[in-house]
Amino acid sequence: MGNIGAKEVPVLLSPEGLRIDGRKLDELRPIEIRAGVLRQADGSAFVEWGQNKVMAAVYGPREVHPRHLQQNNKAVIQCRYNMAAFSVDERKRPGLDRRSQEISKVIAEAFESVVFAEEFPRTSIDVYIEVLQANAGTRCAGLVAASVALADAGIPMVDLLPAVAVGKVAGAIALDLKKEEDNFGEADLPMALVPQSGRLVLLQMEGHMTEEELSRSLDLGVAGCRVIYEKMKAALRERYSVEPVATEAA
Amino acid sequence: MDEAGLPELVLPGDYLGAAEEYLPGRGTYEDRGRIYASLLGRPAIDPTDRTIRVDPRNAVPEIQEGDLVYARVDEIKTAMAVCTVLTPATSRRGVPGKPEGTVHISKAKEGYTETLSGEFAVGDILLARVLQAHPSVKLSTAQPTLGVVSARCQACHALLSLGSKEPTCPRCGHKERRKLARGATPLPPGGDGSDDAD
Repeated sequence: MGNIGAKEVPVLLSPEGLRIDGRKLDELRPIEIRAGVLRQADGSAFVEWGQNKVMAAVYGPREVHPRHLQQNNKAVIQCRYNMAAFSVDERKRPGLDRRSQEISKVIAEAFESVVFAEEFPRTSIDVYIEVLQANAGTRCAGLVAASVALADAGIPMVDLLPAVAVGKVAGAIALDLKKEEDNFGEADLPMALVPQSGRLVLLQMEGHMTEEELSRSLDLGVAGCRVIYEKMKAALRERYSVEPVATEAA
Repeated sequence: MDEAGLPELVLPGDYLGAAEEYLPGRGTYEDRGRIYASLLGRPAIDPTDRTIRVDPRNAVPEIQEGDLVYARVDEIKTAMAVCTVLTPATSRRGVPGKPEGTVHISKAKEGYTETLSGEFAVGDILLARVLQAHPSVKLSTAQPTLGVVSARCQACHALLSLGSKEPTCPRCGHKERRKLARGATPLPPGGDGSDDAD
C-alpha cells in the first residue's frame, strides 16, 4: 500500500491456478517455529510464517494487575497483541488501537477455552504477542506463537491451538492469504482449532462468501491447522530435545 | 501399555490411554473416556493404582513439604514471623498466589529463642524449609544453612553485609542481630528485597 492513489489490482490467480507467490490454493506459506527463545519469560516462542515475524512471551501464573480483574475460582488470561511501529510498510502509530484490542480479546477468549485456569485461582496468566513484521495472518501467527509459549511455560491445557486464515481470492478459496491477497481478495476467514476435539475456538470473517464456499473454507482451514499443529509439536520437541515419537492418533 | 511403552515426551493434547485402563493423574485430563496429556513432560504410570500422570518439564512451581524456599518476612509477631513465600530455591519462577507462610519461634533456630525480632526483621529474605504445605504453609529455619540470606539496615535501609557473625551496615555502621543462613546460598533474581518481581 506504498502510495495511496495506486488502484492497480495485482493478478492474484494465474491461469494455471497458481497464486501471486506461486503457491497452490491449498498450500501454506513456509512456517518456522522456535520455542523458548526468551530467557526472562516463563515461556516463549518465535514464529516466522511467510513474511510474518511474531514473538510471544508468557508470564505466570502470577499476581493479577489490576487487582479488580482477579477471579477467586480461576486464573484470568490477559493477552496483549501489539504490532511494532516498523512491522508494516507505512509506519504504524504505536500502541493500542481498536484492531489490536479486538485481536487481544479474541485470542484471550480462544485460550480461555483450552487452558485449565481453575488450577490457579486468584492469578493471571499474561500473554504478550509482539508482531515484528506483518504480512497478513498475524492474528493466527500470534495465536500459534502464544500457544507454543504457553506449553513452554508449563501451563496445563487441553491442546495446542493451531490457527490459520482461509480466504477468497479472485473467486477461489485459498489457504493462508498473504498481504496482497488479503488486501485485494473478497473474503478472509481466520480460525483456530482444538485438534483434540475438532472444535474451533476462534472464527472471524471479513467479506462475502456463499454457504458452500464457507463450508469448503472451514474444511480447508481445519486441514491447514493440522499441518501447523505438527510444526508446533516439532518445535516443542526440539526445545526439549527429544526425537519425534509416534503417539497414538486421537 | 506399561512404563516401557510410554513415549519420552508428551505434549498437551497427546493421547495417553483409555479411561478404562488408567486413572487420570497430575498433568492429564479425561475427555469422553480417553485420557490426554495437559502438560508438556514425561508420562509415567503409578503401578499401585494404575494412575497415569505427566511429570512436567517446565512446571509452574508449587510448594511441597520438605522443599527449600525463599520467603520474605512481612510481619513479626511474638510467637511467629509471617512471611510471603516467593520461589522454591531451585526455581526462578514465583509460586502462584504468593502463599503466606509462618516461622514459629520454636522453629527459628536450633535451641531456645528469646524473641523473634532478635532473629528476623521485616523485609528480610529467608531461606527456609517447608514443614507443612497444607492447609497452611509452615516454615523452619532451624538449621545452620537456613535463615536470613538478605537483609536491610534498620537505620538507613542499605543492604547489610551478612558475611560476619554480626551483620553490619556498610553505610552507617549499624550493627544488627540475625539468624543467618550459613554456607553459599544462591539468591533468586530480585530476591534482595528490592522489588516484588515474581
